[in-house]
Amino acid sequence: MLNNDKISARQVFVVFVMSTFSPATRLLPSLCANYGGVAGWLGPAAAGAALAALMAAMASMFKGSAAPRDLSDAFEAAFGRLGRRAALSVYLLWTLLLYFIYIRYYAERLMGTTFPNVDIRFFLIPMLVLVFIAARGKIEAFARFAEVTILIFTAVFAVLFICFIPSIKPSNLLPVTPYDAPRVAASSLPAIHVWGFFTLFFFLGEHISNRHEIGKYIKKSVIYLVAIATATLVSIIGSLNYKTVTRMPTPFFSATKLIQVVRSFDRMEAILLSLWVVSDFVTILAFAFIAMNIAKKLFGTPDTRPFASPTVLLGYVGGIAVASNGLELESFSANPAVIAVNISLCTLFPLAVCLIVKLKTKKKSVVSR
Amino acid sequence: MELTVFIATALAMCLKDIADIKRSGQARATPAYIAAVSAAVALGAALIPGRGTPSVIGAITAIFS
Repeated sequence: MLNNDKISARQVFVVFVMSTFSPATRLLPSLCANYGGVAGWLGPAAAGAALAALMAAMASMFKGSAAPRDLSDAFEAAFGRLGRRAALSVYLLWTLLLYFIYIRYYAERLMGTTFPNVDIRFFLIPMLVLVFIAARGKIEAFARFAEVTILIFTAVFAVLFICFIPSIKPSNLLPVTPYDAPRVAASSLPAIHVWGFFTLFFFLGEHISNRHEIGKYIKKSVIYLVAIATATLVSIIGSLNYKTVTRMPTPFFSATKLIQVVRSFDRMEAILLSLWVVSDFVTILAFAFIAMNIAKKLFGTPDTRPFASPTVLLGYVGGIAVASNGLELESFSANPAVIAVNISLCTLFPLAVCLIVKLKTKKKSVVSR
Repeated sequence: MELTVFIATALAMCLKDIADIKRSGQARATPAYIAAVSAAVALGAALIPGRGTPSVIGAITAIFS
């Protein structure tokens, strides 16, 4: 039993996996199909190796008695106090931008799929009220909520994948030859872009009770993520063809509409949509918690709770003002420069910090000997 | 109207939060809290009347292109 608003390393992985479901189903199909063509469905497998390396590097940084407590401490160990403040400011702005984008995506998705011509505030306000209540509560409760929903999500996803199987055409997925290796590598970038959010969860480091045990969950979570992402891509590209998928705004939703079991069960997109709302809630709340923890570190306050109301107020303003419409939002997310900035901030920079911290720790231990 | 409701909500939240902060003995958090709420209200006042025109990501894209 964990106390004092702490969560376990396993729960961090669960929250991370749940929070990637929404961006993964929205971004991966069209981007992987665009970058990888027929071989796009192999992108997540290639990205899995990069994710495992990133997770292993982070796990090694937080191991040992003198290890930093969270990413903020790691910044201080690597660049000093001023560097830490500068890095935290950049990460706070980026996390807030992601938070705004995911709030708007949630509303746009509901407007685009089921309720067109409804005022966006009709969706924004209930979600932000829920986020406010959860953000003022314990992170432990949020982690348990994610633990329960991941089971439902996995079960529903497995059923959906089984229903997809009859509509998958092998000719849409094959042939893949060794000459497709560069395209597979390119199609791994969108997956690295989404899965790179993993490092942001280390701003919650103080709340993780067994940080040194992160390494134990790497294999399971990478296998799970790669399997789910590959199954999603195989279902969508396999049933619709990659050329069609690149032109669709919500390919997973559109492909789910095709499902019909024995001419009696159909309209399964309603189940998918409710899962999406739950996943959006987890994603938005995860970014809210991360932003609140970065703000806490930046301003040196003892608790994150005072930042709950400003985060929600900013979420309302940002959700409205972040984009003028859904198309602008989609083109921003698919912009290669944005993907590059996100990969740099969420993957490459933390890896560099990890390397510097390791080198400094090694140097210190050599000097003290 | 929307801006008025937004500012009224922010004010109500602010009063409750400051009371909570004082009650929990975290007076050190007050300046940071006031700065964060002020930023949110200022952003709201600047962006709500425009309703996403120009948008935040539009401005970012314009800066980098």
